[in-house]
Amino acid sequence: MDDYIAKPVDMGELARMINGMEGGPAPERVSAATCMDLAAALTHVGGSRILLKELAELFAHESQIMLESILSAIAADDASMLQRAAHTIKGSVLLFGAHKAADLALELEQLGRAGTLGTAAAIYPGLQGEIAALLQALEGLRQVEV
Amino acid sequence: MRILIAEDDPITRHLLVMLLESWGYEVVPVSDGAAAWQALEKDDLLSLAIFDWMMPGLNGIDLVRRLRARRDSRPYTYVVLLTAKTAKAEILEALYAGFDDYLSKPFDPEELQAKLVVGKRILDLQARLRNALCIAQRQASHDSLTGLLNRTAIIDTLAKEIDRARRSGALLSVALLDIDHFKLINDSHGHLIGDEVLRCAAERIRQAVRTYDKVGRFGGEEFLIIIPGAGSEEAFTIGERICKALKGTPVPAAKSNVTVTASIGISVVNPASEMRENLHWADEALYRAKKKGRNRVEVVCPGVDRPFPNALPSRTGPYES
Repeated sequence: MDDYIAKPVDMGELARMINGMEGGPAPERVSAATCMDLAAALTHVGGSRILLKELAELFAHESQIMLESILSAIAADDASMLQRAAHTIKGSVLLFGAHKAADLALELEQLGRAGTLGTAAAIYPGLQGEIAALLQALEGLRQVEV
Repeated sequence: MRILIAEDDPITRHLLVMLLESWGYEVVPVSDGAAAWQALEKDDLLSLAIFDWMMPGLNGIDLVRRLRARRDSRPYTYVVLLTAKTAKAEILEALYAGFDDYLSKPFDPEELQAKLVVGKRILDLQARLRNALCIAQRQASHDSLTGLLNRTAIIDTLAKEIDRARRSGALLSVALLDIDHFKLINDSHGHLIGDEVLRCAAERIRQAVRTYDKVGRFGGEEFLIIIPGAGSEEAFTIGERICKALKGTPVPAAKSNVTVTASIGISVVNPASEMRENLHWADEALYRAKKKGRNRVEVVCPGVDRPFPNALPSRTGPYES
């Protein structure tokens, strides 16, 4: 065992621990400009910028819950929970045309389906970084449009 | 049109709600399969639905299988699968499980809109067929002149009521009613007035019986009335009420108003006997009512303690106006 965390799990602590793990990738800095495809996102909402902003607001809130679910699943070694949570977040980020985030979520989903959570903790920081950048990009979108 | 959305991702769900509402749908959004099933069970007007595949608890595939396994007469629900799964084997599984169409995530709103128009087209077609079937079924079981159950339907009903009486031990009476001198009415007033007499008689019989009694046109001027829960006394009272209702209001005709009377033969059903026998006893009672001067009720009780034909306990009486 490399490290431990006491139950009940504190999400912040767990995130810090996973991010600080040796050998794991450092939390990635992703450019907000390249993390999403605005044109695709607009197509997905039928061209309505108002609706896109509304979804961005909702995502700002929901993405945190989804990330927490993924962390909980990793902490609890719960493969089916990881599969479901990663699948859900994949659907959401695809909607914004965030393909890198979606690819990482897909990797987690597949680990969950296979029942092998081994490398999940190493993939998580990348997803977290992509989502942070996406949120920043969406925030920019909201500011510009208002 | 009302549409059900079962989608656990709140972002996609919200997007669907906003799009569908802007297209004029009344949207019922739920976040898992179990809630979707509850909504479908409760609300028959949910004729369109969009299911996500991956949902906690009951997933989209199991949900649609359960929906298609429902064996009842409820209207069809047209269901579109919305899925991130795009492998051919998965799409085939979904279609064979009961989905009508699918769309992969992230979806193009214009395509979804078009697919729902296809669904509505199928549902419209089904609604027209159901409507036509409903009319045909009514025509097949009802007499077109009087609007009462026809001979086939009233005999079916009687068979079921006898079965029920046999099981429950409840009383049951069956009445045969014949309009007195109907041939004479036809000959002196013409067939149109004859038809009018039948229509009026049917209406008055229907009003004179209790709501749970069943009335059917048995033959030309002969009617059959099923009187559940009634023994000889009650059945006799209802018979008299019918006689009174018929005679009370003459049917208006060009020459002169036609006073209509009827003779009624009632048999308290012996559940141990076949329907044919029970009808035969009612027919014999009717024959007696005719013989004793018409416009009257005769009741026979081919009961267990006094088997027919020995000394039938019977109650008779003309209706005195």
